[in-house]
Amino acid sequence: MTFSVEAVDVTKRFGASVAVDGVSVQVQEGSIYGLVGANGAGKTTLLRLVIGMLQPDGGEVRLFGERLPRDAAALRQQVQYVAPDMELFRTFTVQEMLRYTGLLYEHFDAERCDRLLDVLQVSRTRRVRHLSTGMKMQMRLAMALSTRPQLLVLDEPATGLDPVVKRQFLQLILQEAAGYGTAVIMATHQLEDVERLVDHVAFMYQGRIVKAGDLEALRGSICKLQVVLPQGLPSWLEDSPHLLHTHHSGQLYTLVLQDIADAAARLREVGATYVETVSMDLDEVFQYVMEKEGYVRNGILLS
Amino acid sequence: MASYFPKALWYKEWRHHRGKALLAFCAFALVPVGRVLVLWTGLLTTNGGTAAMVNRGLFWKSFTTSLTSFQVGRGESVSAVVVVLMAAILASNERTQGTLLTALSMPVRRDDWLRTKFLFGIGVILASYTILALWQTGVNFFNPHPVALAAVCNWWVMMFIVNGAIFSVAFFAGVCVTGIFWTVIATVGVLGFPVWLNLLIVTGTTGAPYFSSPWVSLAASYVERLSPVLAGTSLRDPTWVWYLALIPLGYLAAKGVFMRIKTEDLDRFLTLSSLKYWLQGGISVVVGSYFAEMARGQQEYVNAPPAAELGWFWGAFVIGSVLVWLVVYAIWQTIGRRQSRTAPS
Repeated sequence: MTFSVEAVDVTKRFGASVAVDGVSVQVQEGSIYGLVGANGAGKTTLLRLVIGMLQPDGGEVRLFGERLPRDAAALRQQVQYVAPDMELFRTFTVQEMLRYTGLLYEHFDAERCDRLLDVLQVSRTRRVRHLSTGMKMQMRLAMALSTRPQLLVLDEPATGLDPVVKRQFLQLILQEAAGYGTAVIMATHQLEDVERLVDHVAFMYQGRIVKAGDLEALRGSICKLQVVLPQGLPSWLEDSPHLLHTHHSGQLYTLVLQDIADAAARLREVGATYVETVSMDLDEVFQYVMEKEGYVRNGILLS
Repeated sequence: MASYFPKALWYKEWRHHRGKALLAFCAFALVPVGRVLVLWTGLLTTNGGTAAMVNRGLFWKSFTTSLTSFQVGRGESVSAVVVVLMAAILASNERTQGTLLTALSMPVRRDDWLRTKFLFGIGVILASYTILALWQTGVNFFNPHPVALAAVCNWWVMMFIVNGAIFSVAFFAGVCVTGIFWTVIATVGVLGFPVWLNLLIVTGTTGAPYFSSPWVSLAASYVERLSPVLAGTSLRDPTWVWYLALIPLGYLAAKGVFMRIKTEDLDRFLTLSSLKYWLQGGISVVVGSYFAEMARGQQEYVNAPPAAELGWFWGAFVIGSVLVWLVVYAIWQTIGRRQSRTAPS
């Protein structure tokens, strides 16, 4: 199978610090891949490695089955990267930005861009420096979608967007992936966006992917249980890598476990008198995975 | 984007820099056009008579001289400053503003980006001087003793070549360092190097610049004229070939550096880490030569023989350069250690 993006064991260092450490990612055509992590986790660096803006110090990146050359400009005809921190030409008007984009991309659809700008209510006569962050993001997304990209790389795409525009924005991304088979990689802190959009998710911490997989499978692999354990926590669980979180009040334990099949039955076998599965949203799953990595303890950032 | 002249990048340059290009043209035109305006206003105020004749005579003399014995480093020096600033803005601005990163996330090849900027700058210089050569030809039409058309052509070609060479050197400097200020400083350093070398040769071989032997002076003057700032005035002087060659050489050197810069280093003070050794060497020998000249001056003051003067000169040069090299090396090391301590984990 040919993936739109295939990064294998990619590493990137900036001086002494390792920004991305042996990361592997595969994104299929038409799928939406979410990258979630704390600030400084290496998400932006990974996205820039994927589109060939940065050169990896180790590993390999393939786009549409081709190994990224040192100058990947030709491949980027089929790629769009949208990020709030990417500087635009401040003195250009929106119309001039459109003209520039139209000259740059072979498959630029000016009519589609006009329609999208109308929907998003971005004025063509305004100068880029007079646009708010949200307006800039809308303009960038309209331009990006008008080039009919095969790969859409989004870094914090909801930055500066109000809830109504954000909903429109996410809807457009979904349409693009479903209707045109565009592969999407999206780095974000907004876990509700991830839950709404993505089919694969990866949690990043300190340059590494600490948990990744199909969104539903990932949710299924982690469970939160409320258990009454008269004999206390069984020894096989105490230092187990499967135990993400534990909290107890007397004999009532709250356990978050990962990758254990039939956990409830196993706990009953060791004397649990009461076992209840508690549902979790992705936010909680993320929090417990990060906690296991040492990032969060009781809501306080440690690093 | 496979074209040698990518439309999108040309559109961007034109849209970004058309105002600056017009300003540059006005600066280039300051002397040739200003001279005529001064005469015109002079004629209006003198209202005919002897004063007008004197004004007119002075004007045509100045006009003829400007076409036959000009020098970039003298009357037209404003053009040299303008081309250096233009190169600095073209090579450096997008890197400091971060828009180059955006361009590199799009289907823009690095060499296309650099070539477009270089050709845009060279194009502004060529177009400006072509218009000004036509202006000079038109003014010359009214000259009672007209200058030969060949002299106007000579002026046109020399002004383009010399300013093009200065632009090219500044463009190269602008790729090596980041920021307009540092680009100007680096350009002055590169353009001043042959002048410094000339002084070093003359002083270091004869003990005093004003007692140098004719052969040494001749050799040193050729070294000095490697800098386009001290370009000759005529195409009969073969050094114009060197200035002409500097235009593509400067671009090729800039391209060689630019293609090696890591994306994350595009806005660093020195874009390639290896450039710090050149900077270190440059600072060392320049400061070393200052010590050498001080030592030689001291010997001259006590009427020491020329051999002793030379001995002190070269001794102080070598020791001074090595000491400065070590000091700069220690500073680099300290900065490097501090940076690695403060680097994010």
